[in-house]
Amino acid sequence: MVSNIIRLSLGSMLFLLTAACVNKPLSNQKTLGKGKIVDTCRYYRYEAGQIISTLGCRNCHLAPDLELKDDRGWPTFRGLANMDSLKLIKYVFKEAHKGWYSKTGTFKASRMDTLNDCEIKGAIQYIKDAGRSIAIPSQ
Amino acid sequence: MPTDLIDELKSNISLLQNQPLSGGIVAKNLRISDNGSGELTLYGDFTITLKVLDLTTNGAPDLNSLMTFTQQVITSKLRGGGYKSGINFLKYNAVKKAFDKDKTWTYSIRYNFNFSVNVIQINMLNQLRGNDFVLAVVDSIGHQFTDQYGKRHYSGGLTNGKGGPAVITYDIWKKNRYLGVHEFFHTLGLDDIEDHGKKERLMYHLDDNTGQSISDTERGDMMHFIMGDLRRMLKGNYSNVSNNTIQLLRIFINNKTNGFKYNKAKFR
Repeated sequence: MVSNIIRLSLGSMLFLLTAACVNKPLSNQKTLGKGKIVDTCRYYRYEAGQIISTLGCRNCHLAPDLELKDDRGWPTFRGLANMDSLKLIKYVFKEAHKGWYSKTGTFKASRMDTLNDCEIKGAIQYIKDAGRSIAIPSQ
Repeated sequence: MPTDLIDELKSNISLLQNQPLSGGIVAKNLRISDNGSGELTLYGDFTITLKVLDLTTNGAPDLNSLMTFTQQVITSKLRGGGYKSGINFLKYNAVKKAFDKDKTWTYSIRYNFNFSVNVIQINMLNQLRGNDFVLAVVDSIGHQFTDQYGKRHYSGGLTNGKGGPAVITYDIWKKNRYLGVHEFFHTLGLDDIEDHGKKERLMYHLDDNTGQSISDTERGDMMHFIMGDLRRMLKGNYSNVSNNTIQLLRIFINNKTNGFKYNKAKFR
């Protein structure tokens, strides 16, 4: 019984070693070299603020406001900042707004559908920062 | 919303008693005019009050002059109202004088607002109300920031987010008289500009400004911030919501990462 267990263990180890050698991963260097993905997306608060201003988010998502939702049940700007980032992307840019911002919606001319990933990231960070009470410095 | 409701009640009671309203923003005679072609003109008389709290150790002999200058510049920058197009909102029904809950529309908005700006000095915290705007003057600020070019700078002023209290170093304010306005415009919702190509703008904050201009977009954004909610235009008057300024200032000024040096005996 014991020898069977030892034999099974050794066999498993041998199999794992073989599999590890055959499926040798590419070195990190090669992986990085092949893709050469350089993230050029940088966050500029002013630019992100301009996107929020152009979209007019604060027309409906009121700010400043201590509450998370207004009397209509709509999230305030603070309410948006309080959302998880992933939920925010889904909420703001994918499904919400009753289809107003879709290609056939009332606000189809809005830039919301044409924002690139970097602009969306910037807009999300700007909204999140609004709930973080970050000091704004001036020289 | 309870806070809004309480503020509105206070505002209405004060008006009925014919008492002057206190607070950062007090608005009267609000109304909307719809030209029927997608342009709304908003009218109103606004009183904006900024309270200045001197917390310097050795006093601030030039404070009155700086406050007068700040009041004049804020007034001149807000004069003439503003204009903003592409504003998505609920559709306005001019007959019912109400916004439709289900229909939407894209408007151009002309802000035809009159402003009366007060910049007044206070000596005690109990002279602050929950919805006041405040600028605290201190000896120095240890906080530093890194600009988008990677360069480090000392902060001459710090504002605690939109609508929040601001703190300013007296000596730097004396050197840059526009700094008080710059900080207050952060409170009114504007962001800093770091693009070297925009040094002529008031909100450019990397020390070597060549001018103090405000763009139409910035003016429109401030007007919107001051108004807050388009639906308020239907109520005739309002005072801005309580932001709990005293508590915000207390937390902000005691936050060690900001590195404020001031006369603590004056902060009472």
